[in-house]
Amino acid sequence: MMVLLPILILALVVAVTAFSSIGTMKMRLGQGKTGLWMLGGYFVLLLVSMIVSTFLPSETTASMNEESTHSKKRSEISIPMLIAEGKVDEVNKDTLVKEWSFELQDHPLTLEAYVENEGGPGIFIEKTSDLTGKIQASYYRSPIYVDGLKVQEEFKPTLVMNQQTLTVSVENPVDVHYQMFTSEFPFTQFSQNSVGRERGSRIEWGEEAVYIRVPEETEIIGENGNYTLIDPAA
Amino acid sequence: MKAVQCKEVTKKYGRRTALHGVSFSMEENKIIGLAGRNGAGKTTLLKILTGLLKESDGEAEVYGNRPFNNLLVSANSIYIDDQMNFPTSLTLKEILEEGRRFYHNWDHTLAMNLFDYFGFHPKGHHNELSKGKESTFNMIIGLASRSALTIFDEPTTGMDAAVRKDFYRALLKDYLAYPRTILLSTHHLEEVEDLLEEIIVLQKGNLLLHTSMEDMKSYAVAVSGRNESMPEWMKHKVFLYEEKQGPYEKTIILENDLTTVEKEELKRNGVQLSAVSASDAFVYMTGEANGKGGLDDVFSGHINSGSGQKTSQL
Amino acid sequence: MYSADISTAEVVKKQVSYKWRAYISVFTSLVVIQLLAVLFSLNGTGMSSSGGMNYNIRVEYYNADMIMIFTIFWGFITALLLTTKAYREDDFAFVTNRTSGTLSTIIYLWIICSIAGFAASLSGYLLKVVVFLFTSQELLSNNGAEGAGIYVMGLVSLILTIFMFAGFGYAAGMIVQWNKMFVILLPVLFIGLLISLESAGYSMDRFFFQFLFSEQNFWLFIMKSLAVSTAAYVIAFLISNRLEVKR
Repeated sequence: MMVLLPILILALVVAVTAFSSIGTMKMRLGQGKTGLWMLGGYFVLLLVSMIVSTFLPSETTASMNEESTHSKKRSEISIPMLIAEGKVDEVNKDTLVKEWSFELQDHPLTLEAYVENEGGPGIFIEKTSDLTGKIQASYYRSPIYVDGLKVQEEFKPTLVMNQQTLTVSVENPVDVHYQMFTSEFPFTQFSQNSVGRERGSRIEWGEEAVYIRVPEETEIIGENGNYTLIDPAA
Repeated sequence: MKAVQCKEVTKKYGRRTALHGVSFSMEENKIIGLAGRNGAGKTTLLKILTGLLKESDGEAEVYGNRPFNNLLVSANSIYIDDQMNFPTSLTLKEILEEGRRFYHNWDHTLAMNLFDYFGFHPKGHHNELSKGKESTFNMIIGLASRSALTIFDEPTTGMDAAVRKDFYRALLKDYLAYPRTILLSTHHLEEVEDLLEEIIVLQKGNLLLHTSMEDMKSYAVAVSGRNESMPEWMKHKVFLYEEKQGPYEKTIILENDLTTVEKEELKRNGVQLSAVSASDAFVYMTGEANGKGGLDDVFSGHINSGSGQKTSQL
Repeated sequence: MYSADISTAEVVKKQVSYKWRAYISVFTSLVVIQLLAVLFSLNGTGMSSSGGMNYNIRVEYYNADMIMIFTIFWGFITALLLTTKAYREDDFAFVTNRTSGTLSTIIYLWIICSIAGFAASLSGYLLKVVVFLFTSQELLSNNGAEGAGIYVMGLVSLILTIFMFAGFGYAAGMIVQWNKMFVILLPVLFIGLLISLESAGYSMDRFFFQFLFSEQNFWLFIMKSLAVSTAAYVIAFLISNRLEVKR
């Protein structure tokens, strides 16, 4: 019966409109050729909209099949896991969003991380003999897909070096607003792709990580567990 | 082929019976009047003939077909009354155009000429017309359709005298040029007396009379004179109406079946014999002025119930 | 004068074109209702999500479903109105019988339902343009499937659906014309049936919608909806054959 209520309300709305325009036709309104003119005008409007809509900035999201390949790829390679295992070279180069380089004297490095929401990027630090007097940081992020469409808006954490304190801040979340047009029910009923399609829950989150390389002898002072030290032995 | 044939046609609306077994037949190409008081069943009969209503019992036939739900009858007949409903989205001129599309005998020149003659506006709308104008417009459709069976049910409602006269003239002219069966029901019998060839009189759902107009004109006779001058045999005659003029004189309307001998006797007694017009005969016959229920009696307060003059069933 | 050369087909053809001209105002209500539905559809169904990647993603979903549903109801109401006294009497202003009158009405309904369905199928573009005018943001479309074939199938199924509901309206209207008691009785019976079936474990609306709108085979859908429509129109036809014209 829950389904019925909105239908009844709808029926009422349509009935009232129909009766007020058709019903009064027996009297005064709608006399003559008004109906034909309105229909003609409406079709012109529809035609114009059809043409205009092709010029609107718009994008067609990928179909289901392509989407599933995205997710497969991602499940294969987990960025934080690879980095944690020291296999940075294996991380997809496309996911590298930004790199930083800071001077660092022989001082202990204090790491401060400001992450607004809980699931911020993991910070991985690797001590390496390749570097002296500086640290290198990079931010990796795999794309987010909304209904199979890659979110274009970039987000980068802010890394600031002050004396010997490196601050990683993740704030000002990026607001993304999409207007998604979906097909109407008559057009999805017979398409095989739409099997079990649910509207409005197709965001596929990506993965992200901040990878910092520091000189081997650097002492790292951080808050408890705000970073992961990559163990070269592992 | 008979244009119209009715056998024991009965129509019931729920418990009310509008027609009690009416039987008559009509030859083709005549103008026939249908008379009867309000509620006599005229409209019901006409609607049955054009297939708008279905007879409850008996059989109505128009050109050999049962009219109800019959396309042939619908295509060859038209029913014109003052309740005609036309789509409001069409202008008057467009309605005539539709008529041209539907009726195979339609005369569009006649329609347009009448349309102009009666001063209609082409862009006018049917629902905006006055009662008289509406009747006039419907009449144009009825005439222009040239339907084999053309039925006018009270066609002159709301028309002024001049338009009524025009209508009758147009009807007669067009009928003479293109003979067809025309059935006309009207309250103004005196106006169409000269137009009609036959007349059918209905009373309370029964067929009272179906006769030629000639016979109708001599149907009744008025007899007036002193009470004692009325011969004894008068009592056996069918009185349609009786009116006392003072204590000693009276006028009697009776069916005109007086023999020459009887007429002679009446004249010898000093009784005046005078003709009764068809419309007056109709009025007397349908009991409008009859003893029982006569308007005079209503006002004088003594209704002479049961006894005395009664219209005999014919 | 008298002509026996009258063919039903010819009269039906004349009546269809007559009805087209006479009832032209049905399009006024069609346009008003579709525009109204566009207005209602502007709201969209929103879904927002803030994930772990410092993104607040808000997706507004739009589609013309509402316009289609409104159009289907328009078909229902319009057919219902055509059975009312005034409209049936318009039928009888000129040559007709019940067979030709009902037949021409059904053909006429098919024509206007096709037009309505076609307009509804294009109304999505209008919605897109209006949404863009209001937000001037990029639009995404998720057309589960595209292509002429899908469009044609969707259009045909939409038209059939509107025509079927018009059939329901036509049948319901005829039943009411037959006996005025049904004005109250019909909805009571309908809702009563729904409730009693529901309590017996059969959800009528689910059954109905599954039977038709979960049918993924296009041809099966056509057959099913045509069968249901035929049933409705046959009922209307049978009743109309008994109706008199009391004007």
